[in-house]
Amino acid sequence: MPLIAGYHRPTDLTEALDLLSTPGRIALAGGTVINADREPSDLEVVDLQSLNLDDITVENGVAQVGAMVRLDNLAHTFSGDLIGEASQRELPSTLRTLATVGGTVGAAMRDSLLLTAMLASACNVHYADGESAPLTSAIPSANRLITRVDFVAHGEWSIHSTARTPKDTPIVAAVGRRIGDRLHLAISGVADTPVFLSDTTDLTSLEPRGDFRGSAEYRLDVAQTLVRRIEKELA
Amino acid sequence: MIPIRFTLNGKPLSTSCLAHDSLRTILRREGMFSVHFGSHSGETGAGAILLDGKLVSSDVVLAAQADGHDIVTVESLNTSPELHPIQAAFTAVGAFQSGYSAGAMILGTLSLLKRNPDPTESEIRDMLSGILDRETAYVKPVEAVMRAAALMRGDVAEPFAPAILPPLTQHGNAARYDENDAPPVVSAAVPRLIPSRDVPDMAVVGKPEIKVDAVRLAKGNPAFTDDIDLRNMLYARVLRSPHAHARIVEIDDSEARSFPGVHAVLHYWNTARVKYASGGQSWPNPHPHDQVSFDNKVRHVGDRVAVVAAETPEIAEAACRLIKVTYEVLPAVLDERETMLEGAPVIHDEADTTEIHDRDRNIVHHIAAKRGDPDAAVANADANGHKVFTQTFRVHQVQQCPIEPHISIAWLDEDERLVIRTATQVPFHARRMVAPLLDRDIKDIRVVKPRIGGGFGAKQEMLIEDIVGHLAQVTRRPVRLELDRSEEFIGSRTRHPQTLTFTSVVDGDGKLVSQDLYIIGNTGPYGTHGYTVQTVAGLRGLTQYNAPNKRFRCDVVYTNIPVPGAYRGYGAPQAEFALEAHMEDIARSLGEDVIEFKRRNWLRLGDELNIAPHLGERAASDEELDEYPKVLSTGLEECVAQALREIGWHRRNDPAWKAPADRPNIRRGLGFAYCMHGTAIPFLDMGGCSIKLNDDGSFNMLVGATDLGTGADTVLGQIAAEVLGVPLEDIKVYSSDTDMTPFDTGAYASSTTYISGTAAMRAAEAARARIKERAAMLLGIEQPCSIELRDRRAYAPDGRSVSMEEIALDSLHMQEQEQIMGTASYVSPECPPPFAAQVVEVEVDIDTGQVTVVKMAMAVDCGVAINPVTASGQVEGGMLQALGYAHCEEYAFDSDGRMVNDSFGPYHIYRADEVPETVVYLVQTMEDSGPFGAKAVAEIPKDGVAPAMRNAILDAVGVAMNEIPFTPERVWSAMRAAGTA
Repeated sequence: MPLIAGYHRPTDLTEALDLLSTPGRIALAGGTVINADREPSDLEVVDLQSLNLDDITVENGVAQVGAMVRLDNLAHTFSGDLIGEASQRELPSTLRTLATVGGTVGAAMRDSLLLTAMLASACNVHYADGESAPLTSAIPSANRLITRVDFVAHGEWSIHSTARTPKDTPIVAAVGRRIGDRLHLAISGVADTPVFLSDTTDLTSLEPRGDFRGSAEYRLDVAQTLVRRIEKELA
Repeated sequence: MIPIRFTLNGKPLSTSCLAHDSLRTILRREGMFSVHFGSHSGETGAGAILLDGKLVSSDVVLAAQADGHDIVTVESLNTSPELHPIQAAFTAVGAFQSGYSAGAMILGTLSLLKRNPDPTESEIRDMLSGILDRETAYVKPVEAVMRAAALMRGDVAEPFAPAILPPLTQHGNAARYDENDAPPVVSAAVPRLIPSRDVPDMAVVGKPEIKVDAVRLAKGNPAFTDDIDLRNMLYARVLRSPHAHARIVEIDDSEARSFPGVHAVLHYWNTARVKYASGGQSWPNPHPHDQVSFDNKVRHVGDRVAVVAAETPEIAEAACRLIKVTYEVLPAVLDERETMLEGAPVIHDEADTTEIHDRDRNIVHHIAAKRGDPDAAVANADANGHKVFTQTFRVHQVQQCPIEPHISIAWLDEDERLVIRTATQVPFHARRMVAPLLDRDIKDIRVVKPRIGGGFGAKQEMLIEDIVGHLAQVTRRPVRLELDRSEEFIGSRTRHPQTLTFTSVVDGDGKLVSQDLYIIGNTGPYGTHGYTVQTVAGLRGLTQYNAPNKRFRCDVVYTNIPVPGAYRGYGAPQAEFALEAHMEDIARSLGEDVIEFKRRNWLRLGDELNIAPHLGERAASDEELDEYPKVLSTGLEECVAQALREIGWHRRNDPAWKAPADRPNIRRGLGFAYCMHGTAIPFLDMGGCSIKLNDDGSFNMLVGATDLGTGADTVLGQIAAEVLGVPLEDIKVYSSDTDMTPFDTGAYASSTTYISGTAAMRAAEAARARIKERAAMLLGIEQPCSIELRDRRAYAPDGRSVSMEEIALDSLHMQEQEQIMGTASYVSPECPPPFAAQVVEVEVDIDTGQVTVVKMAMAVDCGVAINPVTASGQVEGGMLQALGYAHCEEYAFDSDGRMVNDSFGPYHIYRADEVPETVVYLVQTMEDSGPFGAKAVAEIPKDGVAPAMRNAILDAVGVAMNEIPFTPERVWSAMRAAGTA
């Protein structure tokens, strides 16, 4: 556990925003990231579990998902769909039951398969201040309180990834979803956060950060291979 | 403090916590000892509990987050002496080895079966995906969940027992399997047993007995080192070096000492400088003794700098940050090939470390052993029409990763003796080794080894016992030190990286004329097991094939990596990777069938182990030997036949299978490795046992042997029960406590069943002799030797009998009273090798280099498996560890020598939902020197997976990989270099 200095559990959004307006406080969603951090900290956490942010609705193929929905719930609800599959693969069983949709978006991990899948699913992020923005426009700032996301939850999809072992976090993962007549592509492992591939994105122009699992050169080469596979599969 | 209320196992609980307290911390405070620590970030799942019915890692749940929720631990099932059906299912199939994560697995099963009474294997594996198991390969846990589901549905479960199979060979001769003869269709968890006609049927030995510690593990009862509450306990935290190599110029601990709640700060200024070597080995530990408790120089990132004892772990951690250390940073070297070069930094420049072979070149030891004349064999090769093959291989650094980290608790008892309760494989070595560091006599130290949550060699070390000992003496309070996961990686022990070069000479008939092995062994900054691991590497690399000329040379070198030490296999996995790759490539180069080439050269019954006596701590010269040890039992050909049939070896010749038309980017391949290991260290490893008869005819058996989860206590109990004619349940095994139990060198070198087992057998035989005497008295028989013990009774030849209880009551209370007991110890002159055949099936993505292992199978000749279920569990778990070594585990460093992946995830160990199909065959042979025919089994499964996987990749894509692990980029690069990608 981090050496956090305080714990708060607001019961409504107003209280939560008020608590979070004080410097040195951060929102606590599932806890798989913040509570796992061993670095000493004087932060106070604002636990979002009592804000009723755990509803899921699906209408006309578009899902509205509360920020505190756990990934195991997402995996179950969207079983058979891209989001369900990505949620299942995001974390092992004992952490998937804790991690949340909002936390996944907020943490913005470079290797997050779920975030990549959401990018390919026309995801919008909704904030407590009433604003919203497409996930593709920017990975949200950690300072803004996410209340829900929406995304397209239908259409052909595909995931291709490369990892050390079958369920290891992918070194590179490419995700595609066909929405209408357009193929939405996103890819992880080639930038500091997953990337949405627009029509104008030049894969070779990306400058991945290499590490012991894969050099920059390797990541770029594999990214192109995986994207080709998606395009062929969903052509 | 924050007040919290939640329901714990059905009862409301009101308590309080600090903001940073984890739910695990609070649950353990409330006595829920089944909830164990594996890592702070929750990936191990050892601390998983049910929160509102869902399995969650309690490590990453703040206690305050649990307020208002429903919490369930495995203790909720312990409402009677009987086991819950789920607990019963896990124990019935041998699903627990150490049982450290037993509570999590049982709760996960409970939750899963509530949602789905008939789960698929995939669903079961997904449930287990969050509970890392370093011991079982998840094979038997999956079987246990299926069995539990059946029991909960009301089905009747058959007893779990091996599948008995007919042999495929006769009299040990090679035989081809029939391609149309499919392998048996039984659950992967069921060991396939091929009996030997030489082995008689026995009552307890050879039977799948339930482990003697099954109940305590299944119920999550307090059994492990940390499962104890002591008043006024202090918590220790080690300040570790951020530098790979540096001199400590100054330490200012004033702020730390004055920090409220701090009771002691120790470092080199205030701790006696006593030299030692930390490897848990027999006296006298091999030199150089190059360590002290706290030094004025650090030699790797993670090295000890200072330690704090404080009222809470958090205070200790905060105080560590207040210690001001001034370092003079020195150049560092990580690679064993560079450390011997001119200009490399000298890692041990202190005057008081002696017996370093070449201090200026960082060479700790130079090891050499020879038979015949390998140089002449190479020099004369051309003239003789022989071929010379030379290859160099590189193997890397990995960690044992026991889910229970190192933990020790020390205190002064009522007689002011120091008690150290510790997770160790070597309690007696630890007591002897720690005594001079603490300026105490051995008699004033007691080391207690409770149940251990896995060790695999990492705990064959006196690693932190000196720290808690120092602190307990200074503070006069109990002190606890538990390493966190990062410290396990950088501050405990690892497998030695090596560079290995084989040179082999082969004659025109395809027979080996000579084998020469040169190793540069990287022992990191301290010698510990450096000498002995490398000698075993030489032994294993040069023993399993016949050649009249052999030579082993090794430079054991210092570097600045985290410290290597003992790791299951102990040099063999490195050497056998290189050897079996080398032999594969020679066969291919000669255009020979790989197995026929190896078969022509491998050891057979009666062959000499012709370099073994010249290597090791008790190495002998030619002149000192009357004769060389020989192979006296081998089931290798049967192993090979069973393994090849299981994997479908003939598919190697099927182009359609190897390049599936519907998956154009995939190539398939099969690989084989032949394995041979040792059984204990001859003339060195010793175990003791004492057995006494109780009033009711049961026995207490005390052994110094340390069960790491292997089932050793069970196996030793089975051996004694067989001798004494009683069921296993009548043998109460206790291990180990240096005050109470006989000496044992400890759990290493595949020695426990063979050495400690023979001691148990002999102690039981001594007790049996007295029991027969007493039975003869009661039955009026003149010849006690005619009496037979079985079914808890002593039978006269005429059929009359007396019960064990009657004998006990008579001997303890009625006439000529005596305590019937037997004691014995054993050291072996032999080291009978177990043999095995390892096969692996892979799929390689030719575009990305990703290798997927589809199946592994190992057929093992371990003599007579005393307990085929625990033996097969050893093989399953060992294979999966070996797969991690070959495939995905590795230490990665930055340019300053800092490990960049010191946590699970980045350091990836296999999860339940991704392991390949794993199958085990036990080929029985009768090893006359072992107890009831037993040889070793625990380490040989570590030896063959890496070379078999490497050879399978070669079969699939034609690329020979001489460096592990086979990560996607490494394979991709090799294919590119070869022009196949």
